Amino acid sequence: MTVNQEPSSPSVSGQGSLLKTDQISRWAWVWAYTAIVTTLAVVRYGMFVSHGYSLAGYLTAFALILHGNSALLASNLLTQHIALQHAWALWVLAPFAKYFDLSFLFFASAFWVGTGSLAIWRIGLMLGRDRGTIMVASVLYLLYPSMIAANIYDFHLMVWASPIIVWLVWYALDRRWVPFLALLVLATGIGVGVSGALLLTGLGLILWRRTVWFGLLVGAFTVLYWGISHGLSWPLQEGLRQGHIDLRTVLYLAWIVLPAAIAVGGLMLRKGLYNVWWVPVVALVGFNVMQGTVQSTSPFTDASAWIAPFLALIVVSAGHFPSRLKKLALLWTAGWVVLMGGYLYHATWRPRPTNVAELHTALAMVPQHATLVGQSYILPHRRVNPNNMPAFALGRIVIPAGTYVLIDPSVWDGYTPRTLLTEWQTRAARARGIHLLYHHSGVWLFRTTQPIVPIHQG
Amino acid sequence: MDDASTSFLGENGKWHRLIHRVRGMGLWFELTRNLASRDVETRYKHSLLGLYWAIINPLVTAAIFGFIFGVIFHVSTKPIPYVVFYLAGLTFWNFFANGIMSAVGSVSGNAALLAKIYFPRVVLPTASILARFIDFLFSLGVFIIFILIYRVLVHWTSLWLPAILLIQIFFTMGIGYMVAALNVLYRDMTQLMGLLLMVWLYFSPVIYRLSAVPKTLQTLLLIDPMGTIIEMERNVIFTGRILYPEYLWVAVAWTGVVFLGGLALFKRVEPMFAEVM
Repeated sequence: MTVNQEPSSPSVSGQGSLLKTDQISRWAWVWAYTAIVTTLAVVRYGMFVSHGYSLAGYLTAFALILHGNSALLASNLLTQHIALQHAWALWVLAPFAKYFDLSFLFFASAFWVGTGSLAIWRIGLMLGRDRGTIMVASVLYLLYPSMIAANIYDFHLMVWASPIIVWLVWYALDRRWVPFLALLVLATGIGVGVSGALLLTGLGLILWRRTVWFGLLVGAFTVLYWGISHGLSWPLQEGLRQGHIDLRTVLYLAWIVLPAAIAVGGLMLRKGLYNVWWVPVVALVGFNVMQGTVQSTSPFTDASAWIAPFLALIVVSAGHFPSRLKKLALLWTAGWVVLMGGYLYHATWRPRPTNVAELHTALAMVPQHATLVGQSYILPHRRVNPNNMPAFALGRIVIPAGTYVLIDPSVWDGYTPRTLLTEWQTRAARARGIHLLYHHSGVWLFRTTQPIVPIHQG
Repeated sequence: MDDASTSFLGENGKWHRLIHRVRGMGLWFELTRNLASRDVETRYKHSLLGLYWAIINPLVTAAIFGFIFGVIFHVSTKPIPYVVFYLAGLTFWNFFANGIMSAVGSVSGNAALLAKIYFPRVVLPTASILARFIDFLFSLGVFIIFILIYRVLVHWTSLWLPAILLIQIFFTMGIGYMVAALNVLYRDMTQLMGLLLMVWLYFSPVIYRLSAVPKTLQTLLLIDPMGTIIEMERNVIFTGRILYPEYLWVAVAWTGVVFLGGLALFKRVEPMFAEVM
């Protein structure tokens, strides 16, 4: 073929599937989502506007792995909750986080979550839905508060289960066993916690009838995986025992449970909208409420992020989705995003540290090989470093001599009791067993000169 | 027969389609290369100094900026001599700006060619940018000569330069596709882009150090992918490390958006080319 011949088919002209306008546009949207989320995450990181506890934990875990100390993952205060997940993806991500900087984590997370919208498009097109309906489903999925907040304001590996859910449904619908199985195996990379998402997906696939065998496979695979990795124990028992209600739980009830209940009530009136994907949503919401922990009942953490793909599946699977409902769904999502913005303005933006320059100065004074005890929003700024300890350790363990402590008692990191920080500030001022290295604009940096026993918190 | 035609290796199988696609891509590439060389040839064919213009432009601009900021305003670029500092920024910036300005008229200026033969129209802005890349390579040569003259220490991290340049090429192509398509519909694009690039130059750390501006402004300048790209290019050559690594992936992500968004816009407007031109 020469260049002046009209092509007989798109493939002959070199216009591969990727170059179909619609597909390019969809990929552009995925990249746009990635760019916005990554930018916000990086800006927020640069301004110390976050609790960053999970990020600090993951960065320390990566460093321990790269230093050949993965056995310490289970005992390190920052990484022990991560170690419980047995996530093999940590070993894959560690060199990337080290050599391509931690912003790679923000990028990879946003990008992977964004690709879930491609699966939703494919599912919608296969089910013969119109573009408007598919768009509503994609928006619901991408802008769901738990999903976007878990991505923008920290790093949570478990959010990666959300796109896995929709891709599994797509492969099941397309009857593609090989990628379906491959994705199941890959899903285990993000840890035991993914079992919950897989079980709910399996349940939905079984109830959907057309994908029963895929659902059964997911169920069997999950039980097997759970059994091997967790000795058939129930990892959430502790949460169930804790069961308490706090402000976040109230917000959760108001923002997630109440709208879900209203929607279910609406379904009773319009049965045409009912489909099996409501079951995983109700099961997950119910389970989170029953668990009653801060993590599970937060409207902005990964524990609720899995609801997003199921909500999207509800929309694309509904036989007929009236335009009035589409507008309502978009309005609902927009309202949530606004609420999320307001909440985060009050929770993280207003109380943000104003002494960023001083924090950088203090951090520069801490040698890379030295152990640093710091608040969770400070620790990620040491990047992939194994010598980190959370500030709440000051009230729990004996702090060895030669340890650096960097705190700002005026900022609450969401984990360290304020009284503990104030007590240590007083101790630093009195210089008992402590060598004060830097004190400016509320930032305290000191090195312990003798082992310090924990101060008991009332 | 039906089975064979739909199988993996059959006439319409995936493998067969893939081979056709690769062949098609090969043709695209060949055409792009030919158009790019033709662009460079015609640009300098009847000029007295020919390709030297690709070298003279950044040299004169760097000399002007060096005189204004270095001699008159005494802006410090230490430890890098100010001529080398400005030349570094401008060499990479000029590839971006010239690439876009070439791409703007690449489709509208080739109406006769479009009417005669069929070929994927996206080749035109791609070839224009590739032609400016050839110019850039000459400028890069001059930049290296200046580094040698001033004996500036160059770090081994300069080996990362091709990877950063790749991001810059994709970013330039994305904007190039957008403006090339829009220029067919609205001929104001040439004037608009000239103006926009002038403003963009001053809002990018090309002629000043990023560390010299306030912290808040630094964040804004780094969100701009060109800001990050120019800063990274200078950092890997002269500093030996990337000073703001967290913005690398922000730049990559925005480059992806701009490239795919530009391509999508071009493909959408493409069917209108015949009507408008």
